Amino acid sequence: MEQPVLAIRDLSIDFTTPRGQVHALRHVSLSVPRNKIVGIVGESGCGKSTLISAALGLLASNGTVRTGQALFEGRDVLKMTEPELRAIRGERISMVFQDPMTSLNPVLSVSQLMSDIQYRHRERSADEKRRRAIEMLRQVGIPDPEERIDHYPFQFSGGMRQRIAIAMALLTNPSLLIADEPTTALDVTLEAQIIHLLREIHGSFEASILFVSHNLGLIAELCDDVVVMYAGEVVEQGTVRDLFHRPAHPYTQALLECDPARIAKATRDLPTIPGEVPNLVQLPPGCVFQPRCAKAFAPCTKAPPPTVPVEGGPPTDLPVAERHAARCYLVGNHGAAA
Amino acid sequence: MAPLLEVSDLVVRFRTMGMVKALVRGVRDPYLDAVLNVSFRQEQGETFGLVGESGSGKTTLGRAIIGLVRASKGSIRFGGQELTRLSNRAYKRYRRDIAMMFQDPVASLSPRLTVRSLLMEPFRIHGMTDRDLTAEARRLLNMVGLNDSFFGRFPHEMSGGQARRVGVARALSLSPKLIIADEPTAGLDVSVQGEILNLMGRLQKELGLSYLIITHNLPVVRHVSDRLAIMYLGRFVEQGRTEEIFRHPLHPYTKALISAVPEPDPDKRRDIVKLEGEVPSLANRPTGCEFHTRCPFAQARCRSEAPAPRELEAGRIVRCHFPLARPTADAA
Repeated sequence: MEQPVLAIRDLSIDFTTPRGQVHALRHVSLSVPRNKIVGIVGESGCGKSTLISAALGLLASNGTVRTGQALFEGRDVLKMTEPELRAIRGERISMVFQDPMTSLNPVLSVSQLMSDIQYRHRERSADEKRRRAIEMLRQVGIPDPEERIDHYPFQFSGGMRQRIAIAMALLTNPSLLIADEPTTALDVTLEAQIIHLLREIHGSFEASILFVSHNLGLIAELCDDVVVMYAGEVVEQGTVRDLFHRPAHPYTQALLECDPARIAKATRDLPTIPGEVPNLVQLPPGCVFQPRCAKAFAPCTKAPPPTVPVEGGPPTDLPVAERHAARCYLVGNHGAAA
Repeated sequence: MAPLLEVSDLVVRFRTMGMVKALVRGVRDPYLDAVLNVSFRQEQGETFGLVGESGSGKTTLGRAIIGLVRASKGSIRFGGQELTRLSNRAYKRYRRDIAMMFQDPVASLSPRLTVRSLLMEPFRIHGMTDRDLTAEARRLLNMVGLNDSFFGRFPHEMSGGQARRVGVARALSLSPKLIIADEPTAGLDVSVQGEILNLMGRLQKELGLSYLIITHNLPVVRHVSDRLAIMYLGRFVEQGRTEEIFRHPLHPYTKALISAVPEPDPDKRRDIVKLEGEVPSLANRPTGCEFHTRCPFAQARCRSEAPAPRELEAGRIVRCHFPLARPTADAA
């Protein structure tokens, strides 16, 4: 099989805080294959942001890697030196942030912003950089880019600013684009336009996309593979169809049930997931979702379940997204035995 | 009986520059109309949803009703009483009956007050200190499903859902008849969102409350509101019963908004974007029908002549020359 662009293997990360060790990520494995769009979905505090920071080598200073690797094109990001990291950040891995207003420097014009990001290319003249920037703005759908490039970020609307952020991310020709909730700050009509744009550029730029969101509708719309995270663990992963049509983990099932967009008949009594996300300092002894799980039974409280393929077979630690797998005693061979 | 709330031909304008600057620049009309000729009625116990994109004027409308911004023209009648010409002092009496839940659950609570002080504050502001305020605060917390252990907490020590519950408790404190909820679930996780909406629904049943819900979240508003208005550039382009609007939208903008919501089903991916472009600036309103610049069905008449609001079905008011076809054939 072809080497994935990004492969996270058995990654565990702790943060040292005054309240103790926060086990933010535990044995997380996932992979972003070349030319695929992989979605990470999960609620606040599930570890999405920690995972992204780790992949970019941007872990906070109180974070420690307990186990595992984050392999970008085969090399472990977590073992790289600072100059090596600088060589890939923004160049080989680009990032589109949540809020397009605060992620663009307000005192620089778009032309300066977009020329500066090409600083590694000393062979390009200032005119050449500007020409490339204009061309990229055109590709992301900014009207009159020759004129608009001299404007400042505040002179653009939210949707246009996010297009500029995407144009900047693509200027360096990355092999991985990480989009962290890129449409949360936008209206629904603009959201649809940005998603459409992401799909288009994915077709024409040969970049893999790691798309982080809590919006199930966007994940269904855009992604090839989906990883569901809960309280610092990957609880289920598979193709987008596996996840939406045959969710295996009770958390994934509950999450889908809670989405008001999936409830066909109007109701005043919306489904919820009772309880709260567990304290990541003191985790429950068994399955991390067990305290909130409607289907929990005796084994769930004793030991954390292994990740098993949904179709049956031996437990797997392989970060293979093509294979539908879930971390639950009810799934696969366990389910048959129970 | 008079409706609980009746808004007619309401206009809220904001000055964009000072008098001198306008004179120097020769600007005759240095105003923006954030809300323009809005009319609707809301009955006791009803939930009315206000939907629109950023800048459509939905929050300004909510703030005008509770008197945080002044109405420039038109009328707001609450329980039969005209509110627009009241002085600030006289308005205060009606603010007990109308409560507001502001947008961001954590940021809308003062960071320097504990939950207990936050819950006692409305009583103090309205001079209702003749009672046991701690008992009142406890009663309110219990109503929203929190217990006394939250009394000493500050807003930053709570999750978004918990802070939102405190916001609901504060809104309930003076036993209002109407609660204006500005984006009650924005920023909350989907499982928590359901809890807050269910809580609001339960309180509505128990206390006979009315809600004016301001949101851009169409999947949510479909479940919780009885009637709905869609705003565009400060105007209502369509209003009617929620169920019917979702079943067959009559205004092209309504239809575009509904179809822009991504469906959580990978087999129903859309390949085309129904609505291109962005909302025009309020300072530069398009001529004729203000939606014509983005409307896929716009015709010559739409560019020159502004459509008047028409009641096409009972309670269904649409501002469009060429409303979309309906299953029943009585097209105007």
